[in-house]
Amino acid sequence: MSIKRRNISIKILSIVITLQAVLGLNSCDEVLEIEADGAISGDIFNNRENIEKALIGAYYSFGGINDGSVGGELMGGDFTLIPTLLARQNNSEISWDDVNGAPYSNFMDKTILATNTRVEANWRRAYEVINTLNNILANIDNVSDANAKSKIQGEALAMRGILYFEMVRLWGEQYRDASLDAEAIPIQTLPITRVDEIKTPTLATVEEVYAQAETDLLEGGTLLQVFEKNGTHLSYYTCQAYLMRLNMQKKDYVAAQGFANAILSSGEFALTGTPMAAFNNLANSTEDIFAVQQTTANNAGDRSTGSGLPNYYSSVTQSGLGVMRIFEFSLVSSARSNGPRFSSIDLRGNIDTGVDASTEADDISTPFYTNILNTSLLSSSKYLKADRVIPKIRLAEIHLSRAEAIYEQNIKVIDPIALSDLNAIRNRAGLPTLAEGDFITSFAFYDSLVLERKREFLYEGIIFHDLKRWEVKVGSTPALSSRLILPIPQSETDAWTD
Amino acid sequence: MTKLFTCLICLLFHHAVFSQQITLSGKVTDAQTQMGLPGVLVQLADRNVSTLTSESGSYQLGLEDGYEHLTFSLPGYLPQTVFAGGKTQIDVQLTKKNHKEKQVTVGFGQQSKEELSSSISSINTDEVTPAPLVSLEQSSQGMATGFMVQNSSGKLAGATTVRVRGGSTLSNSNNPLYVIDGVPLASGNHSNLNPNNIASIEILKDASAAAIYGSRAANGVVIITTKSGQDGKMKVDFDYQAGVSQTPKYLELYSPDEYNQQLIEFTIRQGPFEDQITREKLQQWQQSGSTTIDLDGGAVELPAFYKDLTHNTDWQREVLRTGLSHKASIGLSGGKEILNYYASVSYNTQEGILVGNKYNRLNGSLSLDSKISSKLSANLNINVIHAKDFRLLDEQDLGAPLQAIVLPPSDSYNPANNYGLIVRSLEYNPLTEVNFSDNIGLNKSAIASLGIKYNILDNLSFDVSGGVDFSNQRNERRQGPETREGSLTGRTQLGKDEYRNYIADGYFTYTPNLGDDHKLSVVAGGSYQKSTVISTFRVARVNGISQLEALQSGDELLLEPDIPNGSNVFVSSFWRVNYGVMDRFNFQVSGRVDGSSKFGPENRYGFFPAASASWLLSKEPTVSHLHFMDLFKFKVSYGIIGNTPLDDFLYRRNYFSLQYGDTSGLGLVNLANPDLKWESTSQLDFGFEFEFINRISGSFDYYVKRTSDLLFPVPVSQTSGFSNVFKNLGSMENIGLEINLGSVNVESPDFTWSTDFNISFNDNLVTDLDGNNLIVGVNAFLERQPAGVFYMRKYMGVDEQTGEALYDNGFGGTTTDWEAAPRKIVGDPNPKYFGGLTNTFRYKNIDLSFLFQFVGDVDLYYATGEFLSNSGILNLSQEASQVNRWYSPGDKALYPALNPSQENTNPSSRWLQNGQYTRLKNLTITYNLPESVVTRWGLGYMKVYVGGQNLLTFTSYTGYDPDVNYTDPLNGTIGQNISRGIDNFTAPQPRIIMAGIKLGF
Repeated sequence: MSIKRRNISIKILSIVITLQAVLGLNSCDEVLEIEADGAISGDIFNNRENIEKALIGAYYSFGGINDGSVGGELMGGDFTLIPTLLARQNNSEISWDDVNGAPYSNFMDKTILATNTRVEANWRRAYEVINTLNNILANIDNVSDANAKSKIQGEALAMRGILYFEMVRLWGEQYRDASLDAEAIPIQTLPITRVDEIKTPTLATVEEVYAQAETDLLEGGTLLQVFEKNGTHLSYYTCQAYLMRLNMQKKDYVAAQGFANAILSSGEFALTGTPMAAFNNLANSTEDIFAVQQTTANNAGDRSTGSGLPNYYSSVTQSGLGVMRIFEFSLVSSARSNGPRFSSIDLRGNIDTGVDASTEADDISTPFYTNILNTSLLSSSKYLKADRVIPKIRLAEIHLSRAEAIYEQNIKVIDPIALSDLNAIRNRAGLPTLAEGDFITSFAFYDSLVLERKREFLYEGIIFHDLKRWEVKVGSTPALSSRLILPIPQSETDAWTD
Repeated sequence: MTKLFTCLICLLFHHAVFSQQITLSGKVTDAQTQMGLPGVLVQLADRNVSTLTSESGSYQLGLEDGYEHLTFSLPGYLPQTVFAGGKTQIDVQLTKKNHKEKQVTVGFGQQSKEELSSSISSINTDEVTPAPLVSLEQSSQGMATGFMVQNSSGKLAGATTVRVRGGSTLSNSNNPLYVIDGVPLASGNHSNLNPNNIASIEILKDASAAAIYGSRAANGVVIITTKSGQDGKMKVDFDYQAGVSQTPKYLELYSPDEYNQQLIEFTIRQGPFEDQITREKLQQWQQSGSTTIDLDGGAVELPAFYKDLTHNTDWQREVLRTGLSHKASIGLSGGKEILNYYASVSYNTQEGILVGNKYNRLNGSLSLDSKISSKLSANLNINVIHAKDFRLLDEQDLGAPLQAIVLPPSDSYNPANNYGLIVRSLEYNPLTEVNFSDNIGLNKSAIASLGIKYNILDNLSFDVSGGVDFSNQRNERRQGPETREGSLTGRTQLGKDEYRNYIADGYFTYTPNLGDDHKLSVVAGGSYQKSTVISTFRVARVNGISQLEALQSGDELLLEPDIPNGSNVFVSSFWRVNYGVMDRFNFQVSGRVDGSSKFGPENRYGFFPAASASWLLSKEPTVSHLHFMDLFKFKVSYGIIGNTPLDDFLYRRNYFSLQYGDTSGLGLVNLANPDLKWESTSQLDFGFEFEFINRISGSFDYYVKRTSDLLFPVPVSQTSGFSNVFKNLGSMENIGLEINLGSVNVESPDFTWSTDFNISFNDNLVTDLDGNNLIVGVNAFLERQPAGVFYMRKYMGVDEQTGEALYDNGFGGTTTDWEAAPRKIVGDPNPKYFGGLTNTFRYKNIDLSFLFQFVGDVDLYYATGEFLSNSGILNLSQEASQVNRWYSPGDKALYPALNPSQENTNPSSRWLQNGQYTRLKNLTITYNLPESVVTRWGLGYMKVYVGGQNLLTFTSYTGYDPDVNYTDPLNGTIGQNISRGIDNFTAPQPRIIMAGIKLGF
């Protein structure tokens, strides 16, 4: 009897279970609401901790950190490397290893295809960061602590401003009266969270993008002022430095001088003792106003990932493939326009020839060394190893830009502050102090300023933008030529449906 | 010992035997072989009296009056009922069940093959010849229609591409769903089962068959049933095999002289004396031994290292070798109704033909079947896998063994100097990688299921089962300081994947008795499945796994990218109704509702219905008198099955953890995609099956399979931060024909000969992509073209005057500008047809069987040729054919000139080839030792065999092996679905000669 009862109860139980499965699937919704262990998903922008983490995520991509498939974009490499290659005038300056650096050959040749993979990678990653920042800014009220809120908001605005500025410089025409209405790039200020919110963007004009960048940097700077140097994050000073760059590019020299003064008069920064001391540091140097932070494990890449600056610049066995091969002749020749024309006493022109396959990055202390993989040419030592910070804006630039801004306001005179700015950079490089009387005319002073920039910022991606604002030819290519403007990627325009 | 065991069982369960008056005796033999059949159950029809036949097939049974009916039954044989009629001796011959009586596993039940109205291929595992193959897929190649197997390479345990009636999806795996003993796998461990341990393989091909598996069945379902114990005394089976693997083919590469001539040409062409080059002069210059080449108007100095290129190295033979393999297994089975058991252990060790490649695997299995009472039965299956794979680098990586074939044959290496090349020391010798790195894959897995069947009523039963599929996979890779990637410090990485897959099913089977003319069977049930995967990865510049494991998270040396865990749940209900009328009409209707956690709340449920019908013409009264026609059946089916995206949780935003400087943060994986829904595949199938004079059988199937709402990565504006997102967009179709023919050509007691032939035709077409296309390398998804069609520049030969390669310029002419030439559709990597032909002979105690497998009307892209047969542009060693390149104006050359400044390999149809082949896949000769001998040795049976695998290949393909499908692991699933038919430094399938012994008692 008991056996029979049990059978029946099993039967009823089973029927109930199965009927539930058959008929009551809608009640299974709860069963389908599952979570993977440790998953972070959905709308995460609802508390301070997550918003702060999202901001770190923005820094990660802003710094082009290699995530296994991409790396070396934006501030972590290409915003340095692409303009460096674009500024190459002829093939007696740099020889490029096309096998190991194929996508970059376009920039050397000034024939930039809309299908270029580096153009596409930077375009996409920049907007990825912008979308993250837009999500942070749209949800900033979820940070209740007022102090934390201004810090997050200020950094997000600063980063967005820097990106729009860097992008419009690369993808847009040089800022000038005739180009203000020219189409440049899309401006996104609203967050995208779902795929159905992706719309075909409209292109903003050069003027609109500069305005957006300037507003973001000004607002960001104001919010960040109380945080002073703000660790290694974007700071009030970074905003001032970028506003200076932006106004130099706009040729608003009064404004540029003002932003430069804010940094120089703060006393927060100091030039490093030697030119090379500003590079390959494990932490920010005294002259870094902003630098991308890298560690052994988290960096924009090197030869092991095939991305990032050391992969191309360095020929040291442990870090690079020596793709960028420099002709020694181009460093000293006076025949070469735009060249640095290093004198023999300039520390920035020193070459170490005693290197071989066993040389490590830390063994090199000169700015150049024999390219280990192609010994008839040289490698630059500016980005030797992936675990070092990448300087993005240094005090040296503030000095030289201020000097130039002052000069441009009155080109007839040699201003003593401008002269002292020039001498600060010269002295550090081992060059003698120049006095006003050393210049025949004020124009000679200007030529000296220009030459000093070319020496100081060689291969840092700065000179290209200078040539554009000075409207000086790159080799035979006019500065305002469309060949010096990155195309909007074809994969982007192909996706525009309406 | 075994006799004692049998006897004990008889004593225990058949005590009634001893209370009888008349004793009947006799012998039961196999109708075909005339051999005695042990273990036949002899039963009195109306009383609970029975016995089992002895080793020789003889039996004794006590009868009451000698006028009873007796039933003789043995699994695998047709039962026979005999009237005793007062005799005291009755000898019976039992006939083996033939195909139409066979029961086929259909998913949540079994059906007789005769009544089946859907399309299912069965692979009889006895047919799977004793080959030293490690995986199930490889041993099924060429065995069944609609089941295409392609090997990725000749590396051991390499991935295999399996397509059931063509691929139907773009963004998820096109491999079928594997169900092992009722457990749908999530771990991919079907390849790691011991093929010896598989009792049957059923391939559900049409929608009607597969729809019961609903949302994951669009690419077909492979149901694998492992061996279980059968009634009878304990049997022990032992199996040992040894094999030798060899490279079936070596390419003809440059001789040292030819390489040196190329180097001379490479040097001269960089200067102004290009026009003085001819092939004859190059030979003279090289043979002169001079390092200065005197030319009209000057001289060219050869590179300083040229004088040292005096070695003679056969790089192919440095990296290809003869490998040994051993395989042993032991199985134990037996039991009575109350408990049948089968247990086995096997060990397999195999060396690959590439240096450094080895695979070891230990398999264990246990199967228990128990009839607890007349109403309750249970079964338990456990399969345990422990494998260690000594892997190699990916084929395209610098340091992969076969990359050695482009090294200069006139160079050599020095083992004492880390195997570095003696002359061209900057080139990387793969032997350095092989000797100074470890690359080990460890797999510890278990697949287990427990099922209980309860017969509630005579015609109503309930099955409940639970299963697990657990897999721990661990990939260790260390590259020593001597290697290129590990230079100076060493580099070590460790990846771990933990799969946890749980399933619970319950279903009712109702088979009411509706009289002789009507048969009804209803199955209804539900299923729950949860799969999770946890993956971790770490890499650091240290030299050793233990140093790597000792690093604490956060250590600055350590890179530990966050891999979000996967998890998904399926909740399903399903039903199936089978209805038969008058033994000749069979109808089946089924439906499954699947709920999947992969979709957002709006799109979670999918309904997958199917229907089929069959008509057994041979049972029509009007034709049933035609005795030659044993079976003739028409069938038709239609149904809809589904497919889910590969990724979990696409409906919501997902984030991963990251590290910037020393702070942790979050990065976005995907935008929320709440509108994503099932991809659905409809399939129409009709066909017929026949069997004549018990000798000739066959089947014919035609199908049209259409996938719509393709999960497609649609390009979007990157202002979203993404370059594409998944949408349900586009459609694809596969239309095909499958033919099976079997014939017993000769059947006599001493000699039988049978032939089985199968051929499958499949035409794939991407019908709609809403104007989009996807191009990966030389393959593409284009509208109105087969999936993965070859899309590249069309090579048009050599310009006689300049030696430049010519490409179709798109306007009916040619151009030498590769970049300007438009890409064109130049070939199809999907075979139009494939199949196999098996012949089996038996003469007395000797069996001989061989299988020819073929693939036809297919193109292959010999990507290796971009480097190995490219006129020496990168100054790599070349195939010997490349000496027939252009040298001077007027040469009617096969290949373009060597252009030393060309750095791009310029992929084009120059390397597209016909990939058709026919292969003697295997051949086995087996000697069954005579029964008299083996019984004397106390054995039940013993056979010894010798055989071979991949013995002969007939093809015009010039690469190593046309059975190849290299996919770039970096391309991801979509890239791998697009990219097909590529041979990229891929090793061939080895030729294996083996010998083995099987015995049992």
